[in-house]
Amino acid sequence: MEAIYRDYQPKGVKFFYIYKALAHPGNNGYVSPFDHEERLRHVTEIKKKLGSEIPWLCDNMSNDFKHAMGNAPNSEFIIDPNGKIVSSRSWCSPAELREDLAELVGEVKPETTETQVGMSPLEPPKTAATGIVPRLKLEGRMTALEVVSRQAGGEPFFAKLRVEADESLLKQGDGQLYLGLFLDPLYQVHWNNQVGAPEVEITVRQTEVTPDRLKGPAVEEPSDADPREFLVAVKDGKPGETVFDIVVKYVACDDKETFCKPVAQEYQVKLVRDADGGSRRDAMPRRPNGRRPRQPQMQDLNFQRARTMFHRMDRNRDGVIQKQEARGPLQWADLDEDGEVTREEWREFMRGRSRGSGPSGDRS
Amino acid sequence: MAAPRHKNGCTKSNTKIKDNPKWEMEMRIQVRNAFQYLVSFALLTTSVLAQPADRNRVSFQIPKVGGALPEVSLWDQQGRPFSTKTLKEHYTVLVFGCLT
Repeated sequence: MEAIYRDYQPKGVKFFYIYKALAHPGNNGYVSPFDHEERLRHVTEIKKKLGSEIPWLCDNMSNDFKHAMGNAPNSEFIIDPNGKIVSSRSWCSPAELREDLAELVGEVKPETTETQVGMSPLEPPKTAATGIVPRLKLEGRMTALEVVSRQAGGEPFFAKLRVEADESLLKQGDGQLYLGLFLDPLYQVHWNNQVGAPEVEITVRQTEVTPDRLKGPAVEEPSDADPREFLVAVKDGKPGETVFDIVVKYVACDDKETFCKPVAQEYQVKLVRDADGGSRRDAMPRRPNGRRPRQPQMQDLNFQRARTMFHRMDRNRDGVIQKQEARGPLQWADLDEDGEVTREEWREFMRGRSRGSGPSGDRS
Repeated sequence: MAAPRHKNGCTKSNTKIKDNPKWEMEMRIQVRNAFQYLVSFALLTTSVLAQPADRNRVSFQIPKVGGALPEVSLWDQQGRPFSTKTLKEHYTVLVFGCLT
């Protein structure tokens, strides 16, 4: 992307990365920001670390732009000078983007190469020691819940609470609730294990939570930056209605040893899925061989192949395959039967083929 | 008297209705009931379909080519307000991403 930027920015094309809610909180050590200032700090961090020249725009805390543009984690669009969308991809493809720009504003020769750009990969932020407190092993799939943090006393949320529910709790109101306290690397703080473990208190009406008072484990190491994780049982919750009032108490100490202060912070957690909460990769259940399940996009879908096929068929580059562009019967892939196949429909169709289901899967 | 015929040759049956007011009444009631069922079904279907979209249900339907870029208030990287409506007069590439 950076190479394309260097080739096409001088031709008058503007480029922006859009910072959106984190897709996989915890990856690279980063946790979901609670306010727009923290989002902007993430932007500064990524620009500095990657050495990227492409400017960033930051979505608002309601994630309005992400919602308006289809919620895909890595989508890509070209907007024409009249403000119309002229290219739309649910997954960014630099090669296809270059082709599109060549058609719209002319080819650039010779092309800038990745080696010439010389960007450095994103490294995790430096924190206190990790890998000391064992992570919680979760059996099934957990879903992020809506968490509202209440700013109290002006202290930043050095440690951020993430709450997830298992499927049974989310649907029936009885199940397991996960609470994870993650230190935010933006603040460069650590747990001081010599002054006590973090504590969590849960209050909820007409719902049983066991236990409702939690305390982190005693750790021999004087300090660390591992998450503190808890699992509680919930009974008689009402999906969509139950609200958990949670107070988190801990002592925040910065890595430069300039302060160490007790903090008490409040949260309201609703038994409702947070559509922008993302998913933690480290929480994915492992297979018996210890490996994580294969990623559906890359393996099951044969994602790259599906994307290339779509691109070949979409000759007018409008992001959909019309009847005249299709090489064979279109109806198998046209899931909503509107006479054209979108990228999402194509992906679903290819997923069906790779599983051997559906009309095309039966043939193969 | 022979019943009048349609162009397609079918015989009109309204002679019977005229001759039998009770049957006519029953027919009208049945038609009215059928109409009421249809209206109820249509209203029910419409009300179900017109439910506001579940805001927690993520839609992965990205905007199609030809549509206008939605107008949304964002921030630029310096923290200044930025509106997407200013993205005009040039070709603009937008790529969504994050740190993770």
